[in-house]
Order: sequence, then C-alpha cells, then structure tokens
Amino acid sequence: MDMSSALYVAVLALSLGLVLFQHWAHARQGRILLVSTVLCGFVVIAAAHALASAVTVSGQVMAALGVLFGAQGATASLVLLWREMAADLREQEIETETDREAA
Amino acid sequence: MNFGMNAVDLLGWFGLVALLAGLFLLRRHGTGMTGLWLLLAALFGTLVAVFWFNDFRNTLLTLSMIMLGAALAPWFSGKRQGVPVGVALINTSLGLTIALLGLVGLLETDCTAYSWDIRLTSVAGLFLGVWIFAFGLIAWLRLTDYLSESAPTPTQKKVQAVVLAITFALGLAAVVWPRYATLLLVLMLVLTLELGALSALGVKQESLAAVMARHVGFIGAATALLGYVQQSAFLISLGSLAMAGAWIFQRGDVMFRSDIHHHHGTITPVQDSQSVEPKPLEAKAGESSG
Repeated sequence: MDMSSALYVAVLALSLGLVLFQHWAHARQGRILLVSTVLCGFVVIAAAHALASAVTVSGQVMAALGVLFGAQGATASLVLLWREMAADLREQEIETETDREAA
Repeated sequence: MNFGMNAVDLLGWFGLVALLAGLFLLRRHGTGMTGLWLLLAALFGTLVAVFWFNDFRNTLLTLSMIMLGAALAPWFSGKRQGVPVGVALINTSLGLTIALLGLVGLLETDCTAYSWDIRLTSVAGLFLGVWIFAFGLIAWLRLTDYLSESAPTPTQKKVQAVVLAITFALGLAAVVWPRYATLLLVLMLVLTLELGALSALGVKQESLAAVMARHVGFIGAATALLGYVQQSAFLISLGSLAMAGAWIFQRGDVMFRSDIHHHHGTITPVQDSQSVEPKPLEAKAGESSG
C-alpha cells in the first residue's frame, strides 16, 4: 500500500470515529475510553502477524513477547469494558424495578 | 492505485464491518452485551485470518503466548483499584507491545533498499511505544500512591525540551543512516524512557486520567503507524478509530459505572447510588505534560 492510500484510509477512519463517538449518553461516556482501549488491544493482531511472518530469530523472539503483552493488554481492556457494561446493565435493571414499584 | 494488501485485510474487512456494527450497538441504549460480542468476534475472526493466510506458521507459539497473556490479564486489570489504574496497566503493556513491534519492523526491513518510509514509521512507533510504556508505568505507580507528584521547574522544562529535541534528532539520524542505527536507537530509547517517566511525574493528580486517555490516543496513532509498516488497511483504520475515541473522551466530565459500584460493594441499593455521587474524574484537554 502506498503512502497516499494509507493516508486516505487514516483520514476517513479518523473522521468516521469522530462522528461515531460523539453525542453518547452522558451515563455511558466512560465507555468511550474503554472501547478505545479495546480497539488499541487489536494491536495483538499486528503482533501475531509479525510473529507469523518474521524471518530472523531475534525478530521472532521480540514478536512473541509482543504477542504476550498485547494479549494481556487486550484481555485486560475487554475485562474492563465487560465490567463497565455489566455495571450499566445492573443499574438499568434497578431503574426499571423502581419504576415498576412506583407504578 | 495499487492496494498491495496484507493477508489480514482479506478477512479483516469483515472484521471491520462487525466492529463498526458493534460500536453502533454499544452506543445505543438497551442492546445489552451484543456490541461486545461483535467486537470479540471481529478480534478472533481476524486472528484466525492471520494464522490461515500465513500457513499456520508459528501458530503454536502465538497461541501459547496469547493464552499466557490472557491468563495474566486479570491480575493486571486493576480489579480492586478502579478503572484508571486498569487503563494505566493496559497502557504499559500495550506500549511495550508497540515498542517491540517497532523494533521488529526495523529489524525485518531491508535497509539497503529504498524503504525510508517504513523505517521512519517504525522509529516513530518505537518512540511512541517506549514513551507510553514509561508513562503508563509511572502513572500506575502514581495512582497506587507509590510515587508522589514532582512538578518540574521552568529550567527543568527547558532542559526536557532540549532532550526531546535531541531524541527526535537521534531517531531521524537512525532513519537516515541505518548503518549506525543500533547505537542511535539505544541512545534514543534511554532518553525516551527518561522523558516519558519525567512527564508522568509532572502531571497533576486530578488530570492524570485525562492525560492517560490522551496516551490511549497515542497507542491508536502507533497502531496506525504499525499498520503502515505491515501494509494493513485494517490496522490503520482501527488505530485511527481508537485515536478518535480517545480524543472525544478527553473533553468533558467522566465517570465510570463500574467504579461507582466498586466503591459501594457489589450490590448497590438505589438510594445509595443516588445520594452518594462519586467525584467525577475531571478530564479536560490542555493540561500539558511538559
């Protein structure tokens, strides 16, 4: 891929993200950061690809360490997002229950 | 125009569609966990694509490393300390990954060929990764009260700016003269470690979360750079999306739902959650880290 097409992809994805992440409900704005960390966790794919296509021994060792830490970061971010969403869902359930009791 | 795509992109396109659908669902009210499942499907689908199109080379090593990392993760997600601590730890490990990938990109590039753009993006990724690693580590120590704030004096700020300029010059020199790259890169790495750690020490405690969010954006930028190194449009678009998310996040007050519950135990009575509002983490752009 040449540099101009890479820049086109980057600018289009950046503007799509800027539109997509705007105007989230205030209660779930904390989610935005965790979603971003999950997206960053996809760097483990880059690490896996580097490990699968590495030709030198030192490159393979470093890419393997990269996969290790990348998988750790990706899983940790998924755990954080999971916990955030579970807390949100629990709050919604409590709210609906109180609504039902009030009605 | 030649899209010389890498193997990830063939299935990565479907991964990107699933991921965007997941993002739309995460945003809407009352969709439950479906968005998260879509993100997971995108992640695993693309990983399988990586294995498949590289003829299952090193698959066993990759899988065992992934299992090991995933098994380690629960201890490094800040379960008891709240979300900002978890984000600091994620920054640390992902910064390390990015630094290692930048090194791999430099090592595996034929420096006699005409490849200055690959080397430049690799060195930029290396710089960003090491910076994020040092910053995340010190931010974690700050958030867990092992280290206290030490704001730099104006003279120290000037010295830091000069050292930053020297670091950039060293990185550029490593790109221009790949023959001496090892020495230059070692010097650059040492300076970057020191600068990242110092900048994390200088940030005020209340704006630490916002600056960490900005560093999540830096991880996104580094992912996009590595995507260019690996010739993958999938990684470039993902990195740009993450950058946009972190940019949007760091403006405006933020509170994490999981932190609210975390402070009041597992089951929160309704009146508690309404009477005891936790102090929102102030996330504002503009507090520079020196």
